[in-house]
Parts: sequence; C-alpha cells; structure tokens
Amino acid sequence: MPDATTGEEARGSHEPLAVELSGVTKRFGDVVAVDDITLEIGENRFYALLGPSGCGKTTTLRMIGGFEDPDAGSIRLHGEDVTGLKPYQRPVNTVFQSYALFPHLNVFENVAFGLRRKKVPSAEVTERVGEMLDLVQLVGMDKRKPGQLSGGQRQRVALARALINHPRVLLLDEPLGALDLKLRKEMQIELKRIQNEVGITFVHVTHDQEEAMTMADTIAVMNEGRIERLGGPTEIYEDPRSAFVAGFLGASNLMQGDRKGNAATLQDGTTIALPEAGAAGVDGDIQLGVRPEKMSLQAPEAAPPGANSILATVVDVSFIGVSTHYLLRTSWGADLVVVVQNLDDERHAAGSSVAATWLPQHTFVVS
Amino acid sequence: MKRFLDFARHHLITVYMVGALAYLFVPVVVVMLFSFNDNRGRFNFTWRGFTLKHWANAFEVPNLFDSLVKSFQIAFLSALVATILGTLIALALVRYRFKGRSTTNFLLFLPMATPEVVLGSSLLALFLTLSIPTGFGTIVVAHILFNISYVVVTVKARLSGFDRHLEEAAMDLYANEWTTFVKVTLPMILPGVFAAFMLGFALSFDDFIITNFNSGGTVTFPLYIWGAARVGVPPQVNVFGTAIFVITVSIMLLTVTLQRRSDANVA
Repeated sequence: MPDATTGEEARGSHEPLAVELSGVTKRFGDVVAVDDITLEIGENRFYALLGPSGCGKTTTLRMIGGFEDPDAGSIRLHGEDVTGLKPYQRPVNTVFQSYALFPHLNVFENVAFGLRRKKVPSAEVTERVGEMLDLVQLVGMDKRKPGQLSGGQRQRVALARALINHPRVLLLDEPLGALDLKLRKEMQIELKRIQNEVGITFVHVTHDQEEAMTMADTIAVMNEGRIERLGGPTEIYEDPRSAFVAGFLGASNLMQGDRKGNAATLQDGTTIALPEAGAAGVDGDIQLGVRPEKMSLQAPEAAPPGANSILATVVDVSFIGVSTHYLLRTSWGADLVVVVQNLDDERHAAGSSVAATWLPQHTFVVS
Repeated sequence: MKRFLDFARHHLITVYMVGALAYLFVPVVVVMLFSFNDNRGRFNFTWRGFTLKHWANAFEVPNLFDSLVKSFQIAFLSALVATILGTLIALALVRYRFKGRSTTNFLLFLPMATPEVVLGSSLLALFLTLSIPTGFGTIVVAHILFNISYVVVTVKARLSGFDRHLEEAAMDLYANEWTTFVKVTLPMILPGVFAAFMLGFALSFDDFIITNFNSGGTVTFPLYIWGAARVGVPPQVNVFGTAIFVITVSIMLLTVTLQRRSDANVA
C-alpha cells in the first residue's frame, strides 16, 4: 500500500484533478442533502466517501454522475465544467448499488451497451467485451442473462459494463452492499486489483468504515451533508479531530479535560500529556481521546514513566481469542474500553484496580 | 349415488371448479356446436344433425363478413391509438409529480365507472351538437376514449415495479433519453403494453352499447348480430364466433408462453 497520501498533499501538488466540486449544495424540499461541499480528487486515486446513511454521500456521487443537478456550486471533471450536463455527456461511468443490469439483455450485450451507443465497430466490440470479461473473470458467461447469475457475478458484470468505456472516473455506489461478508472481502481485494490495473480514479461511496479503509487511499468522512474529515486512512484514524469521526471510524475512549498548553487535566486531577503535533489549539475545556488498542494495563504501581496513565477498576473482561477486551470504570464513573493482545499470561480480573496507560502521541483532541 | 357423494366430499374444490368452468364455458360450447348444426328454417336453436355446410359457405351471408371486417378495423385502430396515448399517460403519471396528477388519475377512472349508456348517449349528444356526422370515425373516437383508461391501468401496473436505476444506467452508458426509452424502457414494459393492446382490441371488438349510439350507418359485427337476431341468426354467425374464439385463445396461449419465458429470464 502506498503511504497514506493525504488530501492536503493532493491539494498542494500539480497533478491534474480528476474531480473538483466547489461549493456544491443540493436540497430536497427542506432537507439539505449536500451542504456547500468543496472537494478535490486527484488522478488515479481510490477515493472513498464514507458516512452513515443520509449523510449526503450518495447524493454527492449522483451529482458527479449527472443524475442530480446541484442547486448551487459547480462540478468539474479534468478541468472541464460539467455542471448541468446529462449523464451521457460526461466521461464517467457508474456501478450502481443494485447493479441495474438490463434484465432483457445477456451479459455480452450488457457489457457492450456503452460501446454500441458510441457506434464502435462490431469486431472491436467483441474483442473489448472479451478482454473485459477476462479482467473481471467472467469468461464463458457472455450468453447468460443477469437473472442466471449470482450476486458476485452480477457485481462483476456491472463493473465490466462501466469499465469497458474507459471512463476518466469510475463511480461506485455501495457496490458491495448486496454481497455477503466473505464475497465482500474477496471483491474488496478484487476491486483494488482492478483499480491498480486500469489506473483510473475510483470514487467509492460506502457506509462501511472497514471497506473504506481497506480499499481507499483517501477517505472523506461525511456527516449531515458536510465533509467532517479528509485524509488517508491512517491519518484520519489516528487523528480523527471530531467526536463523530472518532466514533464512526472504529472505537475510541473520549474524555473531558481542561487544557493548558500541551497538557490536560482530567476530572480526577490526572494530568494527560498531549501530542506535540496537532496540539495547537485554545486552552480550556476539550475532549481528548485514545483508541482502545493503544492502551495497555498495568498494576497501579507499575505504570511506566513518561506514559499517560489513568487509574480505573476492571468491570468486565471478554476473551475474544486474538485479544482480550476490558471494560474499565474510572473514579468519576466514565467507561473505558481497552483491547489487549493476548501476548502474555497476565490477566486482570474483574474488580481489580489497574492503571490504563498509553503513549502521549497516541492521544488525540477532538472538537 | 353414495359413492358419488363420497367422492364430492373429498374433492370439493375439484367439483366446485369443474362446475364453475362448466358454467362459464357451456354457452361457448353451444355456440361452437351449433355452427355445425344442420338447421331448418331461419332459426338455429334445436339440434338437427351434423353438417359442415355453414363453414363451407361462411362468406355467403350478405353483409356479415363486411361487418366483421369493419369491427376488426375499428378494434385495431382504436386499440393502437389508445395504446400509444395510454402508455404515454401511464409513464407521465408514474414518473412525474405534476399539478393535476391526482385529478388526471381520477378522471381516467371515470370512463370505466360510467355506465356505457351514459357514455354512449352523451357522446352522441356531443357529436350532434358539433354537427359531426356519426359513422366509422365517431365509433373509433368513442372506442379510443374508453380504451385509454384500460391501457393506462394495465401499463401503470407494469411500470410500478420498474427499477429507475435501469434508465439511469442506460443514460450513464451514453444512451440519450430517446435511446434509453427504445432500448431499455420499452423492451421492459412491452409485455404490459402488448397486454393493454389486446385488452383494448377485445373491448372495442365486442362493444355494443356505445357503438350503437354513435354508429350512424356503419354496421359492426355486434350490431349485425343484434339486427339479425330479430329475424333469425344465420348459423354463419356461430361459424365466425367459433373461429374468433379459437384464434383468440391461441393468441392468449402464445402470449402466456412468451410471458413465462421472459419472466424466467428476469427471475
């Protein structure tokens, strides 16, 4: 995997932008589905729009595809303003959530649909459909009707049908949502392979954070029509910056604190050191967080020096196999979750007093 | 007797079904049977022996065949126009939210709910007021009028299960609005459109009341039979009735088979 290239870096570079949204807003009646979004997606990216249902991610994708017209703002594809253009006038193709394969056409004609509209000569159509079915591993299925295919096969046909047109940008609307878990994992890897192979920008809408982190090199986390956080998977996981992102991307322990410079005081007087990077901000009431797997447990007197440490009581212990999940309660009644790898035999029983410790750089501050 | 009652008790549904079907089809069978009756005189009500002479002389009765041809022409024309207009109306009603949409929905039901006598007489009044001479043209107009309602209902039913993403997918793949309609929408709703056409054809073909008001000098097949019944129906009417029944049932069976095949592909 390439090192997490972030949205910020993409913005600073001079590579051409595949998709640019500026000030895009979409209302449905009184509901603002997409609220003044500005977004830049570079060439050859695997870009994920991630968020809960109703956050505006699908509407954003549909506006790029031309299925919805924005109420305000403009959309550019490779520098060309496409706002108001019909879907068939845009150099993008879409893989729909329900696949939307044409039930009256066989696999070959489904995949060939776009080429036929572009009046590509018949011999070339046959050749390119063959290549495409090869790419998505559906050789020999060309005479089947969509009704005779499994979910995973339909998904591949939908992908082939879009990719065969060599779109500058491929839009994927929850493409794996209808598949079972095992198939979904396989297709995640498959999609990533295909994206590497064809080398075009994929814009992928999903509500599954794991799916987004597995596949995308840049993730835009959306909430209530806005982009909450933008960046590479590692970056936004380690420093979510908002309580929403911290909660949506994995689990996290959030605590109230009173900040003074590079340190914060918790309710019981414990002092927590904040990371030096990203510590810029105003003093006063803050929320700070730490991921459960970043914490470790010690006997209260054995807390290593230099680490952040909170005294707590073990409330519940769940042995998962690869790890053990501890539920702790602090002196002021807040719950903490700590995930510990099963490396040694040291276990902490329910009811015992422990120190939950972590390194200062693993602390993050959310707004 | 007891054995029969025992059988009936255990096969109640079967017995009931056979009875219901007999009730429906005995008149049809009688019509067919009497097309082979060697009748005497003007009436064809008592069985006098088997003959094929009416089938051989099917076209000998003056005006009978002409009226049949007229009915076919009217049925074809009115069903065709009603299918085109009705399909477009159904598309508009299902796809778009516009002012007067629910009113249109309601108005479309009216021709089905209005008694034919009322529809026929008011149409006649309209034609007379506008001094339009009644005849072939006014019959077609009247039939289109009531057929549209049935077409809209039939096509709407087919459209309600239609996945709009299919059209978006077509447009995503460079098909403009017209190509999308021809290549995706129409093939998908075609069974419904075809069924609507057949329904309209049948409704027009056997309409008597509305036609009777607006026919002028034009004599359709039902009007001919009505006129002939008073002086004695020639057995050739049974011949044509039988022929039409057989042809209709054949087409229906064909339709069902085709529908089954296309459904199997969709499922």
